Amino acid sequence: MDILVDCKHVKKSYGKKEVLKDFDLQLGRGRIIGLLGPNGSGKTTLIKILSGILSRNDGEITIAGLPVGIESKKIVSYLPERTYFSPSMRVRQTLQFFADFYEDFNMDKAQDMLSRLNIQPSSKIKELSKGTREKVQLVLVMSREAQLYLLDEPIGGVDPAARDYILKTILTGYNENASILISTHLISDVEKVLDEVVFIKDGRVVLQEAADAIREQNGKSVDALFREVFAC
Amino acid sequence: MEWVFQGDKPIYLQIMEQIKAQMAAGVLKPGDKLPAVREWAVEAGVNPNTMQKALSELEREGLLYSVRTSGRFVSDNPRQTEALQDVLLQQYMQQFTENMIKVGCSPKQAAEAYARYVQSVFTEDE
Amino acid sequence: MLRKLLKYEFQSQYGLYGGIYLFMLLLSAVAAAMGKLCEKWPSNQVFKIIFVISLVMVVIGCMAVFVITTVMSILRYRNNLLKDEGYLMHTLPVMPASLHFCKLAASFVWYAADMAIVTFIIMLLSGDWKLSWLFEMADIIGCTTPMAVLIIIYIALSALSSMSIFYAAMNLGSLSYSSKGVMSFVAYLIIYMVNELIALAGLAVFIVIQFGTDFSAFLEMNESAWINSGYTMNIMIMSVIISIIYLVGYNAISVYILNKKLNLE
Repeated sequence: MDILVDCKHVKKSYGKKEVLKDFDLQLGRGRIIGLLGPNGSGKTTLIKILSGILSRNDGEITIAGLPVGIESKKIVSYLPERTYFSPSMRVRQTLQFFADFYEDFNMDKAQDMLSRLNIQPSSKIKELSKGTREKVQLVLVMSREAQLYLLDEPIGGVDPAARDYILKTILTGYNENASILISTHLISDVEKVLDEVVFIKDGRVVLQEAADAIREQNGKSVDALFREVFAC
Repeated sequence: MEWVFQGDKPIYLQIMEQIKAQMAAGVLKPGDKLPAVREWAVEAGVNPNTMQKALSELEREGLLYSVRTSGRFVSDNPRQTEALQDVLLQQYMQQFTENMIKVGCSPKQAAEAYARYVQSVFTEDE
Repeated sequence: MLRKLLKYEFQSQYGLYGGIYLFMLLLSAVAAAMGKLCEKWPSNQVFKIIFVISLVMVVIGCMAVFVITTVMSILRYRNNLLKDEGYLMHTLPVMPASLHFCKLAASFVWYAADMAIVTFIIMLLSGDWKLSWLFEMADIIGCTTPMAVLIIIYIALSALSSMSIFYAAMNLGSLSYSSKGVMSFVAYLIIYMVNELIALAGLAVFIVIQFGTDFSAFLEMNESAWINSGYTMNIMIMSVIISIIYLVGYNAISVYILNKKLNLE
């Protein structure tokens, strides 16, 4: 099996607080994987480390055989939970920005998606509502033909219609060569699109299983199993 | 096609069931060409791999067949459709009976209730 | 890649500086016009008042523009590389060093533009388009051409190194997990003290080189002795060297932190 993401003995602490402890994880290609865990379990930290904006304290990470660095950033498309464009930038400038820095950016696809959402290219980011801003960022991230997509809470804080649109966009973005890693705590909304599910607890992987296998073995939805595993 | 999924059963099995229901109802007719896996997965809101697995299973069961460059088609085996209908009918009736028992209705009472229901609901249609 | 980064850097900032420069030029045009009017009608008090006010504003503006550039450069670096926008910038397939030096280069360009605008305004308001007063002053204090060149180089390096120090302080502050802002201030103070020590050491080195251990000779020097001694040249050279040390050292610190210890919230 072609391993796309390989994390071995990864550790990360914020000062005295250990967030990732001896973290091991392997992810294959062509999958949509859910990274599930309560707040503070290390999901966002892992994603930030994979995307290169956070350094780890120990352990090895390779993405498509590459270490985290410039080469890996070329094949990783990251959608953080926050607005990361300058508020005074216009939508068409953000498109140009992605086109300038990412060779794998599909301008036509992005423009098409934005026009279908009725988002004006001349609008400034600060003029858009929060939900619209997130859609713009999602469109840009998914319009790259990357090998690994890292989506951090892509559907948190948006209305149900937007949620459906976002999940649809994720599904259309799927290709056998790439994998999409979705970190979320809104499991019931997302579980139908997941191939595989990874439960993170206290900075370690406690479960990694195909979603349907979980349903078959436990007779429960992933959401229900999650509530059991992480019951307070 | 309206897809409805429950969380506690494997999705690929549910997909298979719903496709079989469509075939039994004649919505999917023998010889019909099925949408591409990716398209259909997006429409259903499920993972393409899961959709693929369901379709492969149905192929294995002989309900679908694929032609290399053309795609997947519903098997044109009329007797199969009838058999499907029977299987699904049995399943639904079993579920109905179990549910009626849960509310304290005996099968005989359930049958009478159902007859009354059919009469009241369907007099407008036919 | 650096070129692309610079393109977006200027695209983002030109509105701000363009506005400031335009405002200053308009103000000085008003002052110049008022000056002419005062000349023509020397008894008119209204003209005099407006002239004085506008002139004062221009002078304040010329000083303020450098402060504004410094503050805006610091904020720009922080907002674009160390806050939310950092999530975008640091996931670009570019070296963190490129991100850093792009900011440094851009701030230098804005300082240079500030210089150009202020020089132009001085020339406009003094009517002296050859800056003859500057050359006269240089002659009086015995400033030679090599010295002048050195001074200009020193000013440029100072601008670069002071910016580098601000950046380094922010990067050091960002290592903290709880109070990045406060730690940046603390880092700046520490750097300031370290720089004082370095400067002191440099001075000590200079004194020893020039005077040996005979400090009385050093203490007895008067103004003309200084001017004639050529020591000023060496002091200048020493200052340039120290600036270069700051430049190399503090940029190395910044680049190291951005490369290995990135800690965006």
